[in-house]
Amino acid sequence: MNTLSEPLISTRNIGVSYKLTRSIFSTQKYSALRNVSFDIYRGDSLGIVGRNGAGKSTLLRLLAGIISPDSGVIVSNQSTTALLSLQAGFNGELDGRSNAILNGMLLGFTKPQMMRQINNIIEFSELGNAIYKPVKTYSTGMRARLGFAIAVHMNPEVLLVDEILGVGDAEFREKSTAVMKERLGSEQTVVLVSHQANVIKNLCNRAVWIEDGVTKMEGDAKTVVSSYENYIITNPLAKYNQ
Amino acid sequence: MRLDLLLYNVQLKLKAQISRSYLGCLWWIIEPIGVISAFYFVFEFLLKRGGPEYTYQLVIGVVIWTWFGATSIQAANSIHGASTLMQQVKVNKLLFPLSDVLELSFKQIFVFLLLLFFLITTKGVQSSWSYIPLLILVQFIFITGISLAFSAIVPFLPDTIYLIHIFMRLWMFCSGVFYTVDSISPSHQFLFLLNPMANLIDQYRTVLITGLAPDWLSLMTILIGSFIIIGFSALAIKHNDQTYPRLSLQ
Repeated sequence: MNTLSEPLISTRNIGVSYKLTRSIFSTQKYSALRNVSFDIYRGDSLGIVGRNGAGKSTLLRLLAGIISPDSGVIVSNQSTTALLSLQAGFNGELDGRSNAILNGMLLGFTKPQMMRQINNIIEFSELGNAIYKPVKTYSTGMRARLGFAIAVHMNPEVLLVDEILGVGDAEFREKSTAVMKERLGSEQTVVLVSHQANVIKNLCNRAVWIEDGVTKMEGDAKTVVSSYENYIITNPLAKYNQ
Repeated sequence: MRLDLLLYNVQLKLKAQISRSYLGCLWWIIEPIGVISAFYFVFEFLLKRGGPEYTYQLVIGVVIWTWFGATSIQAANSIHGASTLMQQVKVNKLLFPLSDVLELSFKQIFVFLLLLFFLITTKGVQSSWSYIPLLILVQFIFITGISLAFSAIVPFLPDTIYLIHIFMRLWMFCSGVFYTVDSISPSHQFLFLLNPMANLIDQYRTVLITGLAPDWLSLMTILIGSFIIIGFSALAIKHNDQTYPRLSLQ
């Protein structure tokens, strides 16, 4: 981590609200994020903690440039980001290999680059001959293996990871966590979202805690996660009682 | 738009379709053979109506309309239907309608080959057929325009997909698929031919059956109009690049 340099991505007071359309006559506004600010530095492993519905996934979509904020600004000095999540847009009718190539190309890689990487991806995924079977026949764990294998071979400047760790069987979980740890310790900039607080505590150097769409705390991962855990214990279901 | 991504996506869409059925890509030929032979059988043998010319007119009308109709309706839903993928990656949304246009146009190649085969065996080749690639190109560009326009609108108001279905059916009845421009009173023919699809179908018939050259002014007008529609639709899609992924969450 190098906090003295310019942040790679800076978010200031960002807010995102969705209009929920009930019918033609009634819409309801729902704020996913209200006021979130934090910085990401080169080489950071930043964890984002918060309860379900705190706006974590929305935040990753903002950082990936998939959506833009309604208020506030995101200043970004990086070129490539890749969002890695379990719902990777696979086409169930196609085999794993084709899906992997297409996925990489959607993330910004050219076909020749993907053709060079594809054997490493297949090998890493440990899917064996299943890689030539349609993805619709895959179990959740197998999909996760494939998604994870693609992402670790992509090497984007900023890797955004949404709840992907802790999937698959024990063996693959160990392998993926090991790779993730290696990545997090390296120069790779990673933003990791999880509601498993201990994952963030173990893998990240810094953390941001989002509560009800607002940054509650930003700083050293262990400190932030400890405060978050204490808060959860003392305020069970606080969000849902509002 | 990245061409390698577009082409690979189209290739995979076709591959997925082949793997979904036992006969695979044979369906791309079986289906038009079925349509052409059904019309041929009914109008040549059962009804004995309108003479062989009428059967040709009808088959051409159906083949040309189906390419346009099927593509625009499928592409209309393309951006809206890609919501899961749009949540995952920052991708140029033009990929979705353009993939549909290319996918269905690729399959249309087989239909055109069959149509020509049908005309050669029952009627013979004509020198005016050299204009066919040009007509196909103009129609392709027109289809691209309408497909992009529909796909840009539907995510904002998903209900418009129903309107598009109704609209396309009405459009078909106004395009002379089952009748020719001659059956319209001369005073209304000009108005009728202002409809680009009626015009294109009439041009295909002129080139394929009558053996004459197409009407250049009409083709130019359709071409220019199509490019304007493509331009505006592509701008709208680009402008809403970060809006579309949100719309699917609302």
